[in-house]
Amino acid sequence: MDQNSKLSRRDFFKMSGAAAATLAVGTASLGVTNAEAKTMSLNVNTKASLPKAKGPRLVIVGAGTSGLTIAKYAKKAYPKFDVVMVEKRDMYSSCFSSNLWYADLIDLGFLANHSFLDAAKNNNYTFFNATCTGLDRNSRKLITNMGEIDYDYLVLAPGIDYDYSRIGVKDPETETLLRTNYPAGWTMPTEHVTIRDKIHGFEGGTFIQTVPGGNYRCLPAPYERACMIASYFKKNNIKGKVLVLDHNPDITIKAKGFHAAFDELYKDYIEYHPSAEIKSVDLDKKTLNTEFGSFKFDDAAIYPGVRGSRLLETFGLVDPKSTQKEANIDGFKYNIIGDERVYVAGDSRPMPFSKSANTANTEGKYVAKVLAAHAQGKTINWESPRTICFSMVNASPMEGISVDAGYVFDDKKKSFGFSGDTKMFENRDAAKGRATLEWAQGIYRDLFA
Amino acid sequence: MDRRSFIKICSAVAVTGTMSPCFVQQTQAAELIAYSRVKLVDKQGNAIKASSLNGSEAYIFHYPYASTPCFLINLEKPASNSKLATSDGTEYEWRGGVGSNKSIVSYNAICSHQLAYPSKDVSLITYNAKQSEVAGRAGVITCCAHNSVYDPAQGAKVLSGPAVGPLSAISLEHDPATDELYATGVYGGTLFDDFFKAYKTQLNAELGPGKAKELVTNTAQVIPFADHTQTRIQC
Repeated sequence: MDQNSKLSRRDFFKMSGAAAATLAVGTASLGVTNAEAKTMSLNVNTKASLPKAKGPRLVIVGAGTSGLTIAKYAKKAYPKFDVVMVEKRDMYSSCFSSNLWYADLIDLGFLANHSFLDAAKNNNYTFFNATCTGLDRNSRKLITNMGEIDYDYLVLAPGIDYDYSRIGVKDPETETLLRTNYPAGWTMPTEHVTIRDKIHGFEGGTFIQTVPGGNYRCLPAPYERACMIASYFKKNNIKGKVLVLDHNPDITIKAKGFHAAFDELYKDYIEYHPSAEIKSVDLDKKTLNTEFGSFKFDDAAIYPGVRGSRLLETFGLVDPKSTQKEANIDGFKYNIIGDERVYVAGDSRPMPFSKSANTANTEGKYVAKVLAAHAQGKTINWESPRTICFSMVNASPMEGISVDAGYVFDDKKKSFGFSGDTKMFENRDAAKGRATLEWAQGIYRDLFA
Repeated sequence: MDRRSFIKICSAVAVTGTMSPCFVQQTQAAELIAYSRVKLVDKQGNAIKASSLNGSEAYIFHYPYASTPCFLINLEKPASNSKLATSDGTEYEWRGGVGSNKSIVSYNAICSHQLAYPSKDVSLITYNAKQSEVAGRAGVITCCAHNSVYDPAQGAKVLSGPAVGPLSAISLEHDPATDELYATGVYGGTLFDDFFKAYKTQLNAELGPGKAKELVTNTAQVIPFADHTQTRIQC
């Protein structure tokens, strides 16, 4: 090309093309190599970008029912706290009430139209979207993917994880298939979406809902779900049967009310098998094997055992004696044994309280008071959580049953049990059906408004 | 300014319906907050006669704001004053029932636990003239969201359940000459700020934008509970 002549448009484009081609292979020729590539990650000692703490900093990990309750009420109880909520999710959607979505008694907005940002703004704390990766209790530092956060008090409310080894699955291949193809629906909202699609697209046959052993999250929920699925099949003339494979010898809570619903409403739609502990799983044959027989399915929601969040293991806070790998905490004060600056609350607790929203909400208000008291050099008396729980057993019309339970510590047996004023309301009716929805809305209001 | 003029000013302020800490620093919530003095009327706008109020169900009116519901109950027996404490422990005296039989009482129908209230569509908080399953007795206000039970004959104090304080009391005046009733204020603590925050969207939809926080003046319409709320949840 003649550099001295006037550039025509065509020449200009030719030039750009050539230049671009040069650039494409340019880096090598400019002398920068990747020969010394090393692991890149956030530098140690990078502080999370947060406003300066205006008082003793209370950091809470996990914006579920427990964490959100503690954030709000600890701030209320001791306004000097500078409260920071660390949550890895970027969108909220509740596990509680999710069963109702399967029968279209609510929509996704009921579960998810609640903003972490509003909760923080309305209740005077900071919301920080990050995942925890480490903990240094000596320097009181929480390490996240977005930097380190110094704390004066730390509450971990990380919820549960699934334990597939409890249904005889120990290889990652099968576990991954189970998590993806047959999700349980007791941790991530995306599982709820999958399960609802399965139910709504079910073409007939057997749908298995398993019930694990141990203290699994939300005792009545698998039975409620069976009712909601059966109700959907019945209403839409789907020739489907829900096979409830229950590890336990009987329905674990509100047994009378659920049995009545199974027998009176869903005779042709629900088959209940107690004492059906799953020993192994064959996904090629779509079969679950128990001690007393094998059960084939067309589709399923497979709920394996429940364990404490894996975060506790990462942080070295698991009680070695806990069969469900739950936290090593004081059963009355909730602090990690030997460390009164770190607390664990919610479903990762080892105490045998029901793992449910009302329990976490009432417990959270007490833990908030424990923290406020400790920050002021005081202690308070133990208060029992309260488990008020509604279960929808009929979708058309809406009918529910409920339980109202408290807990006491038996000094002789050295264990917790239900309190004397625990009551079950097992005659299903429309009032309790409606209350099932309003109960949930009360909790959303308490956490977010 | 002399004391007489000062009192006149305070009273005037009270009548126009703004908060008026006249002589005493408004400590906590328990003190009477005077709002407009409002006559209780029926749907036609005629004054309600206290003796005409039925004891078999509660009535609803809205006071002191257009959106804040109140129970009006004829207990059919006298209710004398009693000492109560708010959720934060502040003590106050509930003034008892009014009317010739001292049996008419009124409270904000907003549960002190998680703010359940009677909307037009549904209410979990209701008055049970008859037996309540959860309370094991009649003549109580129950909130079926979490089974809180309040006694309207004792200032709506909490008998059982997770609620931590009584329902806010509406101060009623009864004119023995005309048998008419007036609402004049609220005491025993209020939950209005929390209520407006929690139900912002819902109240906007129910009443129109901005209407929820309008103060009620002159008259408040009283209607039977069943006419106000379509689905009553009792327990």
